[in-house]
Amino acid sequence: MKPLKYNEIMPKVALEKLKLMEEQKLVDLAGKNLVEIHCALMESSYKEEIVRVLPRENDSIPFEEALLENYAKTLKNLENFSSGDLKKLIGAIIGKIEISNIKTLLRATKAKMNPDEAKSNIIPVGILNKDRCQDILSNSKTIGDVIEQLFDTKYGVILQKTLSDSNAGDNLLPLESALDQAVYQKIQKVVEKFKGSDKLIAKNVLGIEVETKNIKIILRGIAKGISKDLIKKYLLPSFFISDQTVTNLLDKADIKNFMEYLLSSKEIANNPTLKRVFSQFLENLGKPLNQIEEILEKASLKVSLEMQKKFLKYYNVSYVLVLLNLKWIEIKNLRSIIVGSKRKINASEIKSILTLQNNY
Amino acid sequence: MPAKKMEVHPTRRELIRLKRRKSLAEGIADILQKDLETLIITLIEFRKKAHMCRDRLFEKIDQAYSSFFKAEMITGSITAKELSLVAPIKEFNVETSTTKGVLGLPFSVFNFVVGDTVTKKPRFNIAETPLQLDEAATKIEESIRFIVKLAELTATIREILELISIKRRQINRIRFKIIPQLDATIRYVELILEEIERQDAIRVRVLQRKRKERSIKTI
Repeated sequence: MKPLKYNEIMPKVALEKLKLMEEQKLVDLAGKNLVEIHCALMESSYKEEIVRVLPRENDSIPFEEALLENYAKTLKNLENFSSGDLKKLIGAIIGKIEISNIKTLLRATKAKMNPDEAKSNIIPVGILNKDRCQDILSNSKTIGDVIEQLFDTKYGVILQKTLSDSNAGDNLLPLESALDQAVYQKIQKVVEKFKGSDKLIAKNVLGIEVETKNIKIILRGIAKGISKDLIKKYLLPSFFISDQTVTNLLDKADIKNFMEYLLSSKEIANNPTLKRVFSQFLENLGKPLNQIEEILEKASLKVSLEMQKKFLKYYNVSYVLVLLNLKWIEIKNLRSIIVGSKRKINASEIKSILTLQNNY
Repeated sequence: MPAKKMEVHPTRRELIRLKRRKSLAEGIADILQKDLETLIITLIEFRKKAHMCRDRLFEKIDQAYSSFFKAEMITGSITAKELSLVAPIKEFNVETSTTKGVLGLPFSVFNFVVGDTVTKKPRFNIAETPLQLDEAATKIEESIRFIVKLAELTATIREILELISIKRRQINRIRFKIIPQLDATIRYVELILEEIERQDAIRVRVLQRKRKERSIKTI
């Protein structure tokens, strides 16, 4: 079966997937110098952006900028070729990039960073392009100025309301948290509109992303001795886990109790995909928190690949979500290699940071 | 250069006084020498502590940089910079006081005091900050503690070195100026006294001879 909404996008998804770099080629780049990485990227799908930003020797920022621009291009392509609920979902996912750009604007203004430098961290997709961001940065001296210039977007009101409610002052965390919550609420709304297997897939893949982020926030919050009420404020709107379960989870003193309670909760027990993913953590309990966080970060990709295998027979949203995950992971891996090369980190250490297929 | 003698009356009493002063000076020099040795031992101990502290400081800074570079690799260099620059500033202060150390010398004590305004609040957006950035911040804080400790040890070492140089100057002054001066004066007084003794002896012999001649004349 080939639902109509996938008619146009699937060839594009297949094409974009073919453009992804071979994993071995990517791993081989670890430890190479920036000139060699430049040459390798000139033979990849990043060529156009690399030529445009003209990376200078020993400077990783233009490379990072090129990678982000390529990611933006992929997202734009997917959005242009999609239709119906899928277009809305990609739009909602682009919302994550939009808020990332807004966070960059807020941080750059607070830190009084050079607008040109901050601009290179902008992913030009969605409501904000690079020129607009530069205008905002050049015309803003305070966080309030940035928010004022964002009033024509849906985020301006959210930021203004949070700023006046929280008395945050110069602290950006409540603002960033409000943006995260708004975007994930939007994603949740869009996912609810899907039907059949698409709904199940989208809910599981995007839901696990939110749940893992929340678990990361709770675990790190507990480890840092942050109060439960404060931790709750930073949590994203959950897809599966109820408020009561979250409150009970916050009472757990150590990770083992935490994971055991999580697995025994009815929300996880009734969802085989989530149960399988979270059961994996019980095997890794002795590991340090950063390794547990690495496993948590890979959960979304793992679930999307599982969903793709499970619903192989039909065109469905999992193909798009897998591509988005793989593309983002490729960008993150390349960024790690480039920054590692700039910082002269040895190849084995860079490789340990990369997210690779055999680790999923 | 021979030591310059002191202006003293060449009397036996003065000689005894000079000899007493010499033995007193030698005693003081010995005490100062012992103080010097104690100070040198303390200096070596503090130097060892400072060396260890410096090693730990370099280790912590190394770990902090390593964590920061990892965070940079995960989030990208600009995001890592943004996140670091906007993190709430952690207030800290260094309180100074003194304590009595070796030989009653006042040693500086530097206490690293952290303001607890932000300790129970996350400094970074947990959802998107890698743990490595948090670790880098913690390691940097630990490094600052070591820097303060190292500053304290360096201040103490400087104070000990200053006292060692004073003690050394005092010992040198006693050994190479006061004692040779006393020796020269003692030698001078002894010489004068010997000369007086010799003159007296001749005078006695002359008197005896004259007395003898007078008695022969009388007989």
